[in-house]
Amino acid sequence: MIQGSISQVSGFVGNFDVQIHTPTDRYDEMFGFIIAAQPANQQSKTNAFSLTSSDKIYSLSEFKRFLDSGDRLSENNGTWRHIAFFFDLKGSSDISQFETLLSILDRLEIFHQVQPYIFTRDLKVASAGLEARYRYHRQRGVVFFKFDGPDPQIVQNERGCVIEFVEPLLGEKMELTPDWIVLDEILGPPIDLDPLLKMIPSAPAFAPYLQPESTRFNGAETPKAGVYAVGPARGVFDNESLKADIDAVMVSVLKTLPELSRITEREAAFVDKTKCAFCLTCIRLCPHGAIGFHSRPEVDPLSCKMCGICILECPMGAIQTRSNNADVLEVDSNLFSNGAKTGESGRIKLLVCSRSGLQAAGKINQTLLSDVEICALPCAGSLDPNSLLKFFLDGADGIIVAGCFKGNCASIYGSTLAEERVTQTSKTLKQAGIDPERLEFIYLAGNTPGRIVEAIARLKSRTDN
Amino acid sequence: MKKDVLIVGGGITGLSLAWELSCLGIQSILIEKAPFIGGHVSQFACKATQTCQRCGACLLEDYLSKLPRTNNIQMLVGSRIDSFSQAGREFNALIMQRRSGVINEKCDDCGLCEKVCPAEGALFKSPLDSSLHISNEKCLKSKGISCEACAQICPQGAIELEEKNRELEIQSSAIALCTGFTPFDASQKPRLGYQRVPGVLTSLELDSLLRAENFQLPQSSDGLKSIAFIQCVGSRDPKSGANYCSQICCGVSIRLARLIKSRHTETRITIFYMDIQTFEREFDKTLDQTKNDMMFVRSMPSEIRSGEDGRPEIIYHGNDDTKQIVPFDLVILSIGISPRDPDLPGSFPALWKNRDGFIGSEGNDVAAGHPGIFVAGAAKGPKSITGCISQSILAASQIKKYLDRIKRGE
Repeated sequence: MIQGSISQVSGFVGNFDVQIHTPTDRYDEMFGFIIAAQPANQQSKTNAFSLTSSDKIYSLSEFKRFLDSGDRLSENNGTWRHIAFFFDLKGSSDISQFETLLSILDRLEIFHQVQPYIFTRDLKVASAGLEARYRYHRQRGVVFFKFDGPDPQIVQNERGCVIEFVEPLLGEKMELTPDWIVLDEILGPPIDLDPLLKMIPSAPAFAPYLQPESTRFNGAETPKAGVYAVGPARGVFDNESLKADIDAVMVSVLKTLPELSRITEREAAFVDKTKCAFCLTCIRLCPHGAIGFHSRPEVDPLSCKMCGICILECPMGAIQTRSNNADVLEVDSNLFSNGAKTGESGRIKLLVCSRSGLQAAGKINQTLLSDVEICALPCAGSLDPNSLLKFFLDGADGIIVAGCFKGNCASIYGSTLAEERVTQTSKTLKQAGIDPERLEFIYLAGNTPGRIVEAIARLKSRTDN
Repeated sequence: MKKDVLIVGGGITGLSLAWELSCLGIQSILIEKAPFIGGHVSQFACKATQTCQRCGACLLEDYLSKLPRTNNIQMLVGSRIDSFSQAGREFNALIMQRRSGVINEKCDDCGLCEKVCPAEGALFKSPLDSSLHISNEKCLKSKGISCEACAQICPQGAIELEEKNRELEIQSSAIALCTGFTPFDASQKPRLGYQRVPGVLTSLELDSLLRAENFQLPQSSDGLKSIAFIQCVGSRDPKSGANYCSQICCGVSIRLARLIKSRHTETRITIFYMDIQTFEREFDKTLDQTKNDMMFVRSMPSEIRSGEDGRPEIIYHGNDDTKQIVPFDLVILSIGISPRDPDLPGSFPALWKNRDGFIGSEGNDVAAGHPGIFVAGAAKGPKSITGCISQSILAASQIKKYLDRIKRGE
């Protein structure tokens, strides 16, 4: 264990060069994998409530430590103590904080003359056991006030704090002067993720977190191979998820280790050094941070997800896939579970992302696809605008390009790039006197075949007239 | 047949677990009771507006397209464990497989059988790939009536009504129960009008209507359409046996509401709730935006009845201690997740049952209460689709550790 922080990271899975700062030293070390498991950035809500710090006001975690430090609550003989907890007000709170609050209530039960009040908006009970524990405390006399309208105000004076509020059920003005006020905190991502985010060109789409908020990223994976986000780094704060994240990292590392030795067999993009003009567009645009620079741009085969975005964005046409140089893949017939075949020389070309549109096309009754030719792209981001023009020159009636819904692209901005290229190409078509509406871009998912059917109908109604 | 792991249940949890195990080089066989794989997720609609709402429903399609790429997974549909024994660390399960009646390779989807079938719903299509199946519950033949209308008319000879069961013995070192959940039966709350008041649907029914692209807003007299969502039906309700939050329903209802609102902007949507549960990042911001588009009422309706104009009416305790009666065109009951009987033979080892009636312990570990038997997904407690997948990954890791220990002879 080293006490320190990382200031700069470069490299790829199996080979990360990490600059480490310790209180006394600064040095570089190589690591195979990087796991971001820093704690959440906790921020006090005292400013949000316009309060100055006082021995009457605690944050939730401070109050827990206060209880841990000894039973000072019991010193108060004969008089009742009132404790007001603020939860999910002035910024939403998390399940983990509600769990902490419940465990504090559990602890307070041993003191007979303590009355807790919970001032809240929404209780966060979406985890096993929390509802039952909440109900238990409510039945034991903990008072809950839920606010939808104006938040309760805390007024500080020389004697302490007064809570002024409108009782939500009866609509009456009330005041409470508790012995202590406990505010929950705002939980945010760790503050020191920057060196890792800097390695991932698509990071502006999901920073300050290290994992995109997308169902394409399961477990602790990030767009960059070998970099993992655990708990707060991926916007998850409860302990149960944390444990699952740690196992997810282990599974992913176990899957990756054998790949490290088979790296040369992998299919990946590669840069043709005779064509490369060193513009570094590929490095800036690879959503997976898979391209590095060693005297010239080089693609790391294990980090490359074969989305093809660099191939399309390279102005010199210097990037190709290792296996072949085609940017349109063959349709995998396995995906057509209902046995649908595509028209061989269709009047309509359907260019689909193999992660969404291909599955959707597989669900469409084949009679509707009789004159549709389907081409699967590894990612909509590998759509070649020149191929669109060529299809029209070869006599296509119309072209539909289908990419994943925004926020669901496994390459973060692949489908957005495709939409931009289609918009550009439409302008070119218009200038060339071709009806630009014969080319359409649609967003879809693997379970929305209807969006393709509708687009085909739109296209046919235009071209049949 | 010898496999490393027997996975019971072919929903999103079983499929993702099979995939994760396969990536770790572990061989599994997956059995599914229904005639097709996919489970509940196959009924869920994509909730994307123009932007993905991260419901995770399309991840099923993702797994279904990935799974054929591996040789480590075998799948049996229409199957259940018929009997069970254990010798040392080795489990022995006798699987009974029931043929679905329709030979899908021969079926060309001409639709003749559906036209002649006298029993409604006896022939049904998988929501996943539109493959045709015969329901054992609804087919007259399986009720002992000599009807063979479908088999006689099929020009492809694709229907075989003769029951052909197949038995298969599977030895495995580990078993993973991914048997899923039962949607809460809303008719258990008669005051909410389900199956009694026209215009009252469950969230699951709305979801599958949207999935089948069959959803149409009801006509409204004043032209303005109104929809109410009632949260916590069969959740957070000890009286109906659910002293727990079903965790997914706030996300499901709000996503469905946003989807409908994005398609029919004139619709008025009201959500009746107790507490809104966080289901996405930057929740303050996203919830505030949603609250601009629809109304949130913190109150649980006491009754839903048929109004004079035939529309459902919601009666609830409103602000300032008043009784409110409001008509809607459509009322959606956001039903919770209830435990499901895993349908295991009597000889199967006794398993842990947690406080809420699901299999396994209270926490996030995947032990089911007997060495070598694991549980994951909604069988273990309420979970979102991505939550199920996270737990599959956890289960894969734990199962690998267990198998490694056995191999070392520990």
